[in-house]
This record gives sequence, C-alpha cells and structure tokens, in this order.
Amino acid sequence: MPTASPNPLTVGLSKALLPEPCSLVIFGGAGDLSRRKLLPGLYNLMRDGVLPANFAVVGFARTDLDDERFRALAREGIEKYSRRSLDPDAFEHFARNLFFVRGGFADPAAYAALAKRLDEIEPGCGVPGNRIFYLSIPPSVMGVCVDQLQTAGLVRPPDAPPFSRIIVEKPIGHDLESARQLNATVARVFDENQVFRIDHYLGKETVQSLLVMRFANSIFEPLWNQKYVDHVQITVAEEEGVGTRANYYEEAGALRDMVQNHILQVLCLTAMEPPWSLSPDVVRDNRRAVLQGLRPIAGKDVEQHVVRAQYASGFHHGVEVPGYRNEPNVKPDSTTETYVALKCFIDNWRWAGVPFYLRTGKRMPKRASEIAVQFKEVPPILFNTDLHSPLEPNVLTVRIQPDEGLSLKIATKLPGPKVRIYPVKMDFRYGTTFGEQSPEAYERLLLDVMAGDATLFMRRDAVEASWTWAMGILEAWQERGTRWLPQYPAGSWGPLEAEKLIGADGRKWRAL
Amino acid sequence: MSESITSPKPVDIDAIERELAELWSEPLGGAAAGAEGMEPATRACMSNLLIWCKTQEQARGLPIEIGAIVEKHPSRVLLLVGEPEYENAGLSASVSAVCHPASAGGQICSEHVTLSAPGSSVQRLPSIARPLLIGDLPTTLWWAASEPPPAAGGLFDDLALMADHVIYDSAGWLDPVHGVLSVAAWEMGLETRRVVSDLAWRRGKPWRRLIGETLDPKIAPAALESIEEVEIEHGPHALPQAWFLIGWLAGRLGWQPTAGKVAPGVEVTFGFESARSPLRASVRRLASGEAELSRVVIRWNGKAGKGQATFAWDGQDRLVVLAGSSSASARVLSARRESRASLVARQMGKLFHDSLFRDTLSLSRRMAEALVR
Repeated sequence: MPTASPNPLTVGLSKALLPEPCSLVIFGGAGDLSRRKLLPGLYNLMRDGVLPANFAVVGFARTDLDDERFRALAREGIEKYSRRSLDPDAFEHFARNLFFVRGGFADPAAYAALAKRLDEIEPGCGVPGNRIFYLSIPPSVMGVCVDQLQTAGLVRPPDAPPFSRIIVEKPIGHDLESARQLNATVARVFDENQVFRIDHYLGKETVQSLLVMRFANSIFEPLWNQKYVDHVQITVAEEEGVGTRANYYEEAGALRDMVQNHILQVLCLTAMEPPWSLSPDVVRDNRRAVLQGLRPIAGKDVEQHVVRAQYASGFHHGVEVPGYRNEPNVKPDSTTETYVALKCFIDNWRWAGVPFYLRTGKRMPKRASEIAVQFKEVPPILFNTDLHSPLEPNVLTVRIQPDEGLSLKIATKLPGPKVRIYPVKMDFRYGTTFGEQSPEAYERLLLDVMAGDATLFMRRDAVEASWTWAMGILEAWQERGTRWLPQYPAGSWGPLEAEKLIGADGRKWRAL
Repeated sequence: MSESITSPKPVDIDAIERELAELWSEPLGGAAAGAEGMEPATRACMSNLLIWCKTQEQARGLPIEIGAIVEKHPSRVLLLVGEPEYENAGLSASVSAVCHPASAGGQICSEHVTLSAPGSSVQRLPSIARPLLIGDLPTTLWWAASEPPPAAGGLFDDLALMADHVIYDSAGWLDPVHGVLSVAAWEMGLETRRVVSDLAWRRGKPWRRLIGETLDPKIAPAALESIEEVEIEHGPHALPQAWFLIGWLAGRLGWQPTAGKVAPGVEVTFGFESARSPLRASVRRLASGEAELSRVVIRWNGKAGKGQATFAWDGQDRLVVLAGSSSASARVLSARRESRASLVARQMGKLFHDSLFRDTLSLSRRMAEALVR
C-alpha cells in the first residue's frame, strides 16, 4: 500500500491544529443541520483560519439545488445562525469551495455522479483525495447510503492515504437491535477507525473541560469517589416543547433522545477512571468501562428507579402553551415521555453506593444543563450540631449550558461578632473570565474528524453498551404498557413523582 | 467593541493599591460601572501584564492597545514608562479601569496602573511594580520598546525576573543581526523556567501553515527535499520575520547555514547546504509597505521536474498560494493580519515553551553568525 512520508514542516505540532486537506460530502446537505450548524460551522472555522486552504464541501441531497443555490442556502444559514457575522468578501472565497450534487440516497447513478464530481473538483481545490462523508440523514437510509458509497468506489481502505472517513449523526438506532444493525452495516464498508459517531454534547467546551478539571487539578481527584461524594445529579433541561420534531420524537421520547446518548456520555466523563494517556482509544476504553459498570435497571426495578412523564399545558415565560398531546403531529393518546428522571448506580470500587440522579425534560422553566457533585456532610459536631438545620453540603457544579463554568458551594462565616454560617458560591464563568468566544460544538468536532482524532466520538462498543443498559428500561415500559403518563405543567421542573423518587433518599433535586 | 475607560486618576506611589481598591468600592468604579445606564461591572484578572516603554512617545498609543488586550485577556496592567527628557521630575502614577461588555452580560473590567519615571529613576520601577503584582497569577512582561530587551541591561533583567513570560517584537529593530544574536544568547542562557515569545515569529504562523500544507509530500511529492531557492520580499522593519521563516525551513529540513551576505537596506542572502545540494535564500526589503512579509517564492527541482509555489497576501485577511505560474490554481488560507495588541493577547494565553521557536532562534543565531563572520 502506498504511504506518503511524514511532513517535516508539521511534525511535532498538535494534531488538533492540523486538519488535513479534504473534501467533506454532506449527505442531507440541504437539510436543517447542514444549514444551521455544519455550513455556518465550516465558515467560522475558515474565518478563524483553522480550516485547511485545500478544502471542498459537497452537498448531496434529493433537493432541487445546484452549486449556486447551495451557496445561497449556505449564505442564508450563515446569516441566520453563524456566531460570526457574514463578511461578503470572506463568504465569496468560502463559497468557491462549495458544490452540490443532486441525487437520491438509493440511486447508484447519483453516487457515480458524485464520484465523478469529486474527481473533477479535488485537483482544483488542492485536495489529495481525502474524503469525509457526513451522514446527516434519517437512520432508515444510512445503510443504503453506506452500501452505495462502496459500490461507487468512493471508500478507500483504512490506514493508507488518502483517507476516507464517515460521520454518523445521531440517532444511532432506535434500540439495541437497530443500533447493532446500523453499526454492522457501516462496518461492512468502513473500518472502526474510519467511523466518527457524533454526539454534539461531547463537543461543548464545558464537557471537554470536565476532563481538564478532573485531571489537570490535584484537589478534585482525591475526593472523586464514594468516600467523599454523597451523590451526583446530571440535568439536561430544555425550554422548548417538541416543536417541529414531533414525527421523530413520537417514536423516540426523552430516554432515547437524551438519556441514552448525551446524558450517558456526560455521566461517563464524570465517572470514568483516569486514562493512562489521552489517545482516543484509551479515553474511550475508560468511558466504555463506566457503561459496563452501570447497574442494569430492568423489570420491577424500573418502577422504583425511573419516572417518566409528559408535559401538560401551562405557562412558559407568561405565555400559555399547549400540552404535549395537543402539539401538532402528536397523537392525542400518545404515551411518549417528554421527561425522565432516574436513579442509577455504577458498580465499581470508586462509585459503590453513590447514587447518580439523571433528569431531562422538555418545557422546563429554562434551558439549563449541569453536572452537580454533592459531597458528604461534615460530621455533626462543632458547627454542625443542630440536627434541625444541618449545614449545607459542599456542591461542585459544572455548568454545561448556558453560563458555562464551574461553581463550588462552601460554608463561610458571616461578618460579625457571632459565628453565623452561610453558604456562598465561588463561581467561575467562561463568559466573564475569558474574553474570547468558545467555538460551537460542531466546529470543534468537524475539526477533530479532519485531524483524525476520535476522542470525542462514540465507539461502536460504547453505543451498544449504552443501548444495552437503556433497553432494560424501555422493555419494562413496553411490557407494562400504559395509556397515561404522569403530567407536569409546561414551565415547571417536572412531576411530583420525580420529587418523590429523590425525596425517598432524603435528598432533593437542585434548583437551577 | 464598546470599551469604556475611566479617566486616569493621578495617585501617590504609596497609595496605588489603596486607590485600586477604591475603584471597586460602591458605587463601583464611577465611570467604570456606576454611571447611569451602565451594566454592573466584574473585575476580572487572568494575569499581571507588565509593559515597558522607553519613552512617552512609545507609550502614546498604548491605552488603545491595552484596551484590546484586556478585552481578550483580562489582566492587571502595570505600564512602566521611561522619560529620559525630564531628568528633574519625580516619579508619577495614575490608576484607571478598562471595561468591556461581557458575553454573559454586564461588564468585565481590568485595572490599569501607569508609572512614569524620569531619567535614571527608571531603575526604581521594578521595586515599585513588584508589590503591585497580584500573587498566584502568571506575570507577562511585554517589552514594548523598540530595542532588543537584553540591550536594556539591568532594568530588563530585573523586570524579566518578575515574569513567567517575556514578550517582545523584533520587528523594527535597527540592527536585527545583533538583535538576534543578543536575544538568542539571552534565551539560550536562561536557567530558570520562563516562556519567551517574539511577535515577529507569531506573525509568521499563517505563512508556516500554508507553506507546510502546500508542500506536504501528499500534495507536492518530493518538493521539500529538492528545494533549491527561497525568495522573500518584505516591507520595512520586517526582516526578522523573514529571517525566522528561513530559519524555520532550515531547521525543519536540515539545512546547514554556510554563508551570509548583507547589502545594507536592500537584501540579505544566505547560503545553505542540504542533504541533496547547496541552496540559496534571499530576503529583499521593499521600499514601502506594511511591516510584514509580502511575498515568498519557493522553487524546487524534484523527480517530477521543476516546481514553484508563490505565497502572498490577498487583501487584509487572506494568504494565497499560486502553484506554478497559473493563477487559476490559487488557493486561499483565511489568515487575519493581526494587530500587535491581538498578538500580545494571544501570546499571553500560551504559558508553555515553544520549542519550535527556540529551535528556530538557535538556527537564526547561526545564520546571524554567518553574516558577521
């Protein structure tokens, strides 16, 4: 197999700074994700000077577009959604490298046309044949797309230049079986080291900084275990209702949409053992080990450990909003959950007996995602002798969004001659500490794919391990069947049942 | 950017810390935050920034640059200004706050202290600055004077001892050859851990990136090992940047400097020996233009024949490369020409040794030695 000698001008530089010249083919290039996130993200990377000079983007979709109209779509997306405003001159240069191929995902002729177009475009753009295929398409057509890529000769073997890589957008399957099928389909054509399963949560600045906080500071890690931690709460609260996603959401629900992927990935980063290196597979091995240690919740345990609910009508920021069952395209008797709260345990030496409370929901009072590590109480002596009003415990909070940052709640003495103790929060906010804006999650992740760094992407075994765990809950729900779910008013923090779930342990959900 | 700066308040040298505290008392900072309609202010501080200017003239435009720096890297700024023309005046000090809107709402404010020292009293500045540094924070010394730092002797040594990071700009040095020699000797002789950054090296980053990408063996097979000639044109004051670019290529590609020749104010040429053959690098100064590289031409003669790549600015924020002589194959790297303030702010966030710069400085020193031989 031909291998190019390494480039002495880049040897020793950080891989993250060295995205390789490549073509990015976006399947579903005319869709919402492309318009809102991918094209604006690429434009921002170009403006920041981190996109390679030798670069091409090819949109592929059934939509009736050509190069010019695809460029117009990109322009509109950048104008509306980019973190940097559109600079006409810069956009003109960006747009020169945007192309479009129209075709159906199952149409062999369309893939032949795509191959021909890439062969024409790449020499002019200075791309040495490196290709990234971004599957921003429904899971139902991913299999056929992957097969057609192979049939058209668009996929190159692994471990030899030029590279072929594939990005698989979530949802990765609807359940364990379909996830396995999809993974197997992709694996027929692509080696695992060519596959980048994207979970944009892992691209968020604070999620990445969690590893830095844990392993670049000496004060946290010694406390990060069952000896000192009372419990952990992970919350992902959304303000929006189901909006225009009802067709997808009706089939998914909060457990599939949020818990099985985003929240479990955040849980893994929170609970994983220190990796012995930062190489992608070492970090991913340790994340998978957390999933393997998650105690299954199945059968009757599901009722005790998991609460699901649906939002009812209510008021959101003073405006009356409909309940889930009254949303457009939602069945009036739908039993799809829009809220999940659960308690789980990781059965390993570090976390034995420490409950992890996870919750997510739509139509919450505000958008807020965080990880809160609550430490054990101080002994009931000295300042903590009043059993009726014990001191508040220390809580370390990692805010993922908004107001990305960290805070630590500690007890302090109020000024004055008496000893009066009051909890205060030491707060660090990215937005008021650093002058520079963080890049969007998709920007970071696209750059990582170009550089071939899979650390922040989900490996096949981890996806299947998280589905294996989620299936215990999903199957119990299916077996039980229900015609009604607990309700919570839109604009509230969830149902009473969730309060009872955590209240039974003498704890309470954090007020966000 | 909608920056607000409080009027500098003249203060006694002994009262600086107290006056800084006063800035943050209620109502917070007067014009910094207490003015009607202003957002609440938060004092933010990631570093101490010590700035040295040899004259008031050099310091004149600095308040604007300081505003741009602390917007990206909030810091306590101590601006130290020499005043050689006022031998009899006493030391003077003023304090102010520089505020910017924060992305999370409100304002982020940094403290700014100016210390002016006439004549020989500049030697007292380090002892005044030392207690004003906030403990447990990194300290950067930005040498904003237009002479190589080691040329200032004891003053530089005293200030550098307080700093974790020394930033200077070799662009504009009157005698770059001896400047490179003195800085390299100082940098190589450092015993304590200190990060050293030259803004002229930082300005070359997009050039290095585009050259590295264009001549990558996957894109231009065998080009790197068969380079025969490098030609650089630059505007006034940018010789060190050109020098470093050649030093970088030489270091990465294993070229050994063999000769150097200066045609004062016009051209510098270097001869190198590579594994394959001798090669030549020339640096030509343009009569006018920005203090930047203007054009770089690299020629090679590989197995596939002769090749050439020409790199040049296209407007304010794009570097282009033309392969061969055809403009049809132009490729573009988005790369803003950053202001000095922006470069300083970026460098302040990099608290690690740049071994590539150190290697290049070492090779540049050998190139300088070839010139003075």
